[in-house]
Amino acid sequence: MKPPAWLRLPVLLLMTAAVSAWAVPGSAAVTARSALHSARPAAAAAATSCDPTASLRPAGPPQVTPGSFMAKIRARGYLIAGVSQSTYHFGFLNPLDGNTEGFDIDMVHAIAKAIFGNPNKVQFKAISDDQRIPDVRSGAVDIVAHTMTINCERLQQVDFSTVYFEAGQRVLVLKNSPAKSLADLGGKRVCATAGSTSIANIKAAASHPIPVAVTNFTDCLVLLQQGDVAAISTDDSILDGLKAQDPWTKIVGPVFTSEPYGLAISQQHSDFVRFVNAVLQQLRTNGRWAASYAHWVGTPVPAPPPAHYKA
Amino acid sequence: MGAAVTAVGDPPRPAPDTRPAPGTRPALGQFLRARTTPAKLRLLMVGLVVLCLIWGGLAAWVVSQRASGANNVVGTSEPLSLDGQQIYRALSDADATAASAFLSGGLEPLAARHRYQADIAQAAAHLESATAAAGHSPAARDLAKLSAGLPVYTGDVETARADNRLGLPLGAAYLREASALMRGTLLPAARDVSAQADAQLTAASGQATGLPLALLLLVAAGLLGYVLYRVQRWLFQRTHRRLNPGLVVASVAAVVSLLWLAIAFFVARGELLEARDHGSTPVAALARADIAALQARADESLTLIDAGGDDAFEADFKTVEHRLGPGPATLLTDAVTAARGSPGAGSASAAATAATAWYAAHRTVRALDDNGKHTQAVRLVTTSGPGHSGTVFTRLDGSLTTAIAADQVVFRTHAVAGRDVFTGLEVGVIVLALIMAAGCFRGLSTRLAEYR
Repeated sequence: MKPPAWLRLPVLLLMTAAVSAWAVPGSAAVTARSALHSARPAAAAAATSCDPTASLRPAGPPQVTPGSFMAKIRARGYLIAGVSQSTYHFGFLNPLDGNTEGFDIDMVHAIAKAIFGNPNKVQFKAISDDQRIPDVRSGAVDIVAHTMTINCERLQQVDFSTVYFEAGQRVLVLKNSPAKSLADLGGKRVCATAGSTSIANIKAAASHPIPVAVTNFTDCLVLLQQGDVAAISTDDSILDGLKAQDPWTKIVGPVFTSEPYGLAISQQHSDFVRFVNAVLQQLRTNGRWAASYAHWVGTPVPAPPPAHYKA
Repeated sequence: MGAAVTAVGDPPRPAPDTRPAPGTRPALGQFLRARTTPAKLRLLMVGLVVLCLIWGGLAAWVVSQRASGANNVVGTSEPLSLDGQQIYRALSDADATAASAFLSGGLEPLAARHRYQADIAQAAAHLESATAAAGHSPAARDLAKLSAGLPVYTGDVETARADNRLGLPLGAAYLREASALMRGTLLPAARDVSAQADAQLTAASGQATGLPLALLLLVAAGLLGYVLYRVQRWLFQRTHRRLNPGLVVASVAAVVSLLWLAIAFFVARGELLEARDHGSTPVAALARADIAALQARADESLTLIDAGGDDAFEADFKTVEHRLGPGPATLLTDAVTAARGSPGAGSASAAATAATAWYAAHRTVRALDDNGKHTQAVRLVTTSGPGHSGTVFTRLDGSLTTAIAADQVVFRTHAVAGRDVFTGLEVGVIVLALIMAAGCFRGLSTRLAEYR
């Protein structure tokens, strides 16, 4: 049923009211594809000089050294991870068992296992996209594992691990939609979450779609199902999860951005960044990364993104 | 026969026209002085008949005002006010119940499912009767908004349930959307309907119990009685006849209507004020507290459902807790005060105690959830057991609904009694006024005939 516009409007307003800054200038996705977009916010231009995916080199296998941040976490008794609870297959609350699950969550469990020897010593804190950086900076969470794109602008505020997943932005539409890419969606409403690189990319698209920012990507799917938006555009990894929840949708068009995912950590805890990179390196080599990928994303499983360290 | 009476009497004394009738007001005296006795009698007759008829009209009008006020209280305003409260309450309860049932996952408790369905059915039924009662009042627009929005809301809730059963996170998004529609559009409309209905009830009750018109009428009755008395005295002095049967009948009718009016007004006012003070006022205060409690309960569940990590629902819980009380100038304490001396008083106090216990249980839920023990937190909210948030809340909600039902009965009983006092009064005062007019006409025309 298509409800009257006046009913949907307040709901939409509630959602968009939460949105403060969708015009995140200089998203990493944009910097990575300088050839695709000539128009560039000035702030991003200043940051393009950085090498976003280069992270801190681990000293060796993961080790909880005395006095380190890992030791503090161990003393507390659990790791605090900021995650999504609504991103199917990456971080979501499984209604069937009440557990938080997904590819991002597997990474967190591996880090907890390296600190405690027990993968379940984790307190998951559900956060929205635009809470990710503030929560890392304030220390509300130790780490964010939340389909988060590494980019130069974010690197000015937080540190990232090495790349643990490579995504790229695409477009999800209803099966009967004629649209083939963002280029066909000029003047149409296109949904993404507030504070994501995706919403900035929609805003910057040459065809001028109308960006609609909400809290969670599942909110986008609600709007798409109700005909309030024409498309959802974000990382293919997230779109796969949405498509899995509605067989009457399809993913169209080319991958038009590069979204390297990293785990975000406070800039004050470089020891923890190195530790996490050591854990990720183990996952890449011991087959756990491939197993998680096969379980959550599917087969065939590509080679894990190689670690890239600062010189 | 009138002639027979007058025939026995002395011939009328020639009137010393220049002498003012003793005790007569100057205006009347002057008026009477200027004319011969038959002319005076004729004028008095016409004047008295007109006065009696005016009085009858005035009395009938005032009585009809009050009776229609009382009728409005019992027949229209009270049902509309009750409908408004029930819609507001049922929708709040649906919001809270849908959220806590959702939390239980695909295997939602049957009791919660039934409760939600009963809430929706009740809201729809009261919407229908309220729409019929509201007519073109300002509440009609809000009611139309509710009628249009309710199916959209239930559609979203059912989609949420279906997705939840499939284990899809999309279900939570639909439930949040449903709840946002409920809280952003439907509940405010229900609140407006309820407020407008309550205002209408207050106005109708005021019309049925207001003092100025009643006092005016009683003063008018007193004046009329006084005039009748003076006329009879004047006639006696003029004719030396102690009793004039027509005027005596008129006087008796005046006294009867005065007593009837005074007693009816007094009794009806008493009943309607009782209905207000120990009925509708505590019911409204208790309903406000119950609705706030339900809102907080929905917040509790939505915080656990909310996958966005938004703590807006918990912030809302704290705001509502602050508003609900108990404590000075809070909804619960106001309700307990309003219910004092009514049958709902005991339950209202029990609700205040339960609220404090519920806040403690809620803290336990929050502590568990904040420490990553989401599953245990959900269990405390959705299952029953000693100290479980769900159980303590049921006690709070149950006490409030019991108190509301008890005071609702008080209202109904006294309001109906207050209305029934007016039965026959309007016709009665008209008939009595006609008797008075006829009596005056008869009494004075008999005297007048003696001059022919």
